[in-house]
Amino acid sequence: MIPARTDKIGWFHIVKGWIIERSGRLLNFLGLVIIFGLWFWLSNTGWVPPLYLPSPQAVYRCFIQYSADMPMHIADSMYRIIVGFAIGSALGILMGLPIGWSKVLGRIFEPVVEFIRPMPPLALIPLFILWFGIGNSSKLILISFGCWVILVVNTIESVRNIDPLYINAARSLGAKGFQIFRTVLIPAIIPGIMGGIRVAAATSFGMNVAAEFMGTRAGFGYLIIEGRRFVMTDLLLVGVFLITIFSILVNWLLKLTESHFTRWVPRKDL
Amino acid sequence: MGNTGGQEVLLTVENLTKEFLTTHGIIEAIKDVNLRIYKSELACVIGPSGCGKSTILSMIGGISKPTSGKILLEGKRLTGPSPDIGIVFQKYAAFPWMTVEQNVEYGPRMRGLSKSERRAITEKYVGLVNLKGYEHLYPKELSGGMSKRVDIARAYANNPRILLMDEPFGALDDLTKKKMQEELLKIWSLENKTIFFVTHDLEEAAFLADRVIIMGRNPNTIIKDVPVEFGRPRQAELRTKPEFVAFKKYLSEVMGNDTGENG
Ligand SMILES: Nc1ncnc2c1ncn2[C@@H]1O[C@H](COP(=O)(O)OP(=O)(O)O)[C@@H](O)[C@H]1O
Ligand SMILES: [Mg+2]
Repeated sequence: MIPARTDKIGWFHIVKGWIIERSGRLLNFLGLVIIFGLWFWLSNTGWVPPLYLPSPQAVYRCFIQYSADMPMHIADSMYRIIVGFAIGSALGILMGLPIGWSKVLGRIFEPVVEFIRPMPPLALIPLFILWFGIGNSSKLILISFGCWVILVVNTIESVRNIDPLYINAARSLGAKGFQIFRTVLIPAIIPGIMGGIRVAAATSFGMNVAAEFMGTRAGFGYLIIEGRRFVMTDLLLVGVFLITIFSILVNWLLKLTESHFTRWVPRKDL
Repeated sequence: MGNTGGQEVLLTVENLTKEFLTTHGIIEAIKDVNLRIYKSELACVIGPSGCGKSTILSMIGGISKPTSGKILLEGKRLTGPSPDIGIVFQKYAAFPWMTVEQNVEYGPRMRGLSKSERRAITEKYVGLVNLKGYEHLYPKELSGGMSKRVDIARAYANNPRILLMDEPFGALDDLTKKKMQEELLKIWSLENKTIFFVTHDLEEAAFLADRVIIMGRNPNTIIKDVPVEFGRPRQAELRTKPEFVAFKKYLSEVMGNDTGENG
């Protein structure tokens, strides 16, 4: 071991300390900077033609060029995503609670859920169009369905994972039926279903765009389809990045909500 | 002090038997247990691990159903969980999603008491278990001893007729455990509430109890009922007195006759 030499703290050590202190946060950006730089370099040197990979500036210019239409595209998609996600998740939680709680209901409905679970929602798009038409409703139903599956499964499992200790404690303190539901069941499953809610939200963006590919007059998917049709790769990428940015935004909002509702959860590493 | 006045029976257990059906056949968790708990007393049940202490406690608490026999509270048959029977579990059982204060006021809230009534009750019992100033913390922010205080305050705040405690201090370190025992005695003497206390710790039983009920294995049933004569209030000094040490030795001999293992 080399003895510590505190007598020789110079500028070098100060800079080194600063770098070590911030390197965690710097490293977070390193990967992104490399990818973005690579994209910038490949597209601007002309090594990859703009047809395959337009430059970042070109994508930005394209966004500005069509910026008047953007609020409409964003609103159309986000409406479907938010409404479909909210309805599907709420129904999933509401149905998962009794199925997870009651042995009889579990026996009856769990096989149904297990049968539906492996169905890829995207495979059902044609069927939904056949049943509900090409308009908004079939898209909403598709997104709701996808979110419902994720949350019904997640809720059933969360209810089953509740420590019976808490139910017994509540009962011995005089809590009955709905009181137990409200004061034990609901709070106890929140940490478990928060993960499911975020997965459902992220999946909603994908299901929405897939549904839009089947025909739409506006939305993220519309930009992508039109970009392909007119060989405007920059427009296509505008659609892709809008989805990415809004998905990150929604995830960030859900994370904030989550940390509020789960501030009581003991940390695992302690 | 302590077990004052007449020997008025509060709780009666008659011919209680519990069998579990397992893949290896039927396990008799307890067999023909007969027991009386008197008003205001602090009765301890001791016995080696697996002799059926928790089984008895959870049936009195209404959490599990007896195979045969019955449990009467002041002559009335008990058939399920009841706010008349408070439980302090072996595990930490404070609701992790509620603050200390919300945990303590849980029973009164379920009974529909008003906010001001609840406030008064909570303040009293949070004070009684020395948790003043910690009302707004979540259980994850508390030490083991503090969590146990929450459990005790919550059970007391619901004002049950009897309190069941299943090795409540079993998970605590020795020093904390002894401190909690002394505090429990203080609370018990102030509140005058009947306590049915289960433990496998001889010293704990000898220090706390008016009466030690000793259980044995095979069959899992009560083998002896020993009164504890030490006066009250009991202080920490009692633990080192020769008569206390002798009593512990006596208990361990009674238990030792039945089984070698303990714990
Ligand atoms: N759910 C159960 N299924 C099968 N056997 C059990 C169950 N609960 C307890 N037992 C058995 O009953 C006996 C008494 O258990 P318990 O009451 O927990 O003992 P103690 O609390 O005195 O350690 C033990 O032999 C235990 O294995
Ligand atoms: Mg036990």
